[in-house]
Amino acid sequence: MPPSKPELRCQTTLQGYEINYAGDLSAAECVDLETGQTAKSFTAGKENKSSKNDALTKAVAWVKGNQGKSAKRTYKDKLDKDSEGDNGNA
Amino acid sequence: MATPDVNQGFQTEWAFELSNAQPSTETFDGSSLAFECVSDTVGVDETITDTAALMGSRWKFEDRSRITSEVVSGQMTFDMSPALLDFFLPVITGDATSAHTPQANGYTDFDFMRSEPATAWLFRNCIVTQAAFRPGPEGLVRMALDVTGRVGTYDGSFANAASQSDIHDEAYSNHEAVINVASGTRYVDNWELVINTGIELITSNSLTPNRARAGEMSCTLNANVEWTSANEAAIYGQGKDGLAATLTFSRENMSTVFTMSTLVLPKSPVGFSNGDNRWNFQGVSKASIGGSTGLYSIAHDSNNAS
Repeated sequence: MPPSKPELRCQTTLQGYEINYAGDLSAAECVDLETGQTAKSFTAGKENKSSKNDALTKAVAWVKGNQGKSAKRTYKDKLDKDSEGDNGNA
Repeated sequence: MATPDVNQGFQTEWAFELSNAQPSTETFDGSSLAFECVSDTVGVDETITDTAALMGSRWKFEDRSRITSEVVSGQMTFDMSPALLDFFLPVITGDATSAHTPQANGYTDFDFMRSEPATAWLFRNCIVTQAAFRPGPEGLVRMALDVTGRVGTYDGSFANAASQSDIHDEAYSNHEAVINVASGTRYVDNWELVINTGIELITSNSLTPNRARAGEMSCTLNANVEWTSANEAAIYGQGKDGLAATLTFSRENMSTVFTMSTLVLPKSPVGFSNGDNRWNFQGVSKASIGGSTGLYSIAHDSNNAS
């Protein structure tokens, strides 16, 4: 029987993405707040023994990297402009 | 007119190192980290015990009393910066790498030096028994650490030795916090996250602490939210399975995410007085027996802020 998919119970918002992740940090997904689409999914890995490679850390790193690389991203700028110091609470 | 004496209290400096042994002999040098305290009450507490003899007197005699223990204790409060968390998250959790999770076995201790113009105090093998995170009065987020340690000594020879490496780090501000409770970002006026490490230093046939004992740890989140029907439906009544809560700070490419995946709220909502339609809740974090969810985790990336 395949292992059951972990429940992505935890959630945070970072730089225009919503990160949903499991409580044990074994799985995470990044949802683009602009489109509502899941942009990237992660699972915890052990490929690098010097680091834990938990899924949340991977997701956070990806969001930060993606922000810096993508010239098309304007959501954060828009959010900053709209909220004027607000943290984007719904 | 005579020049008045000047108390140079503003020249107090701190330097921090992780302890290297039991007892620690760590040296302070250019690699020592100079974090600045907002307040620091750490000192040596002597317990001076009077005999409880039946044939006593109406006053205490110094000749019958003994110093029975000497323990380093007090509280250190800092403005919470990413670089500060780099150093202290391993101490608080016992876990050296992100994501930091509380360790059932083992802990990390630290040494620090507080340098004054005339003298300096050096404290060895200090541990954090409780860490409290909350917004300060002016908006910067503060971290208050209850500290206890093995020994504290003073010596003019290490005066000003704390001035080792300047850290120009900026603390997180409360406006950089995003608080997510039960899959929704909430407006929160005030909050407090308290981690109790459960580590206790004890004295076994020793004047100063010589053993550490691991007791029960805990993690609680206090926060107030707007008392709306939506918030009440989402947050209250989740039973023993509780809800997930995250506290995220981010600035530029630095980020810190506190996660409590099973926060249990035993008390039903009670509003504030004076018509303020807010609800202050307290949640207690739980772990699962199988380890699929821990008590808490802290994913931290300072991007090597300095």
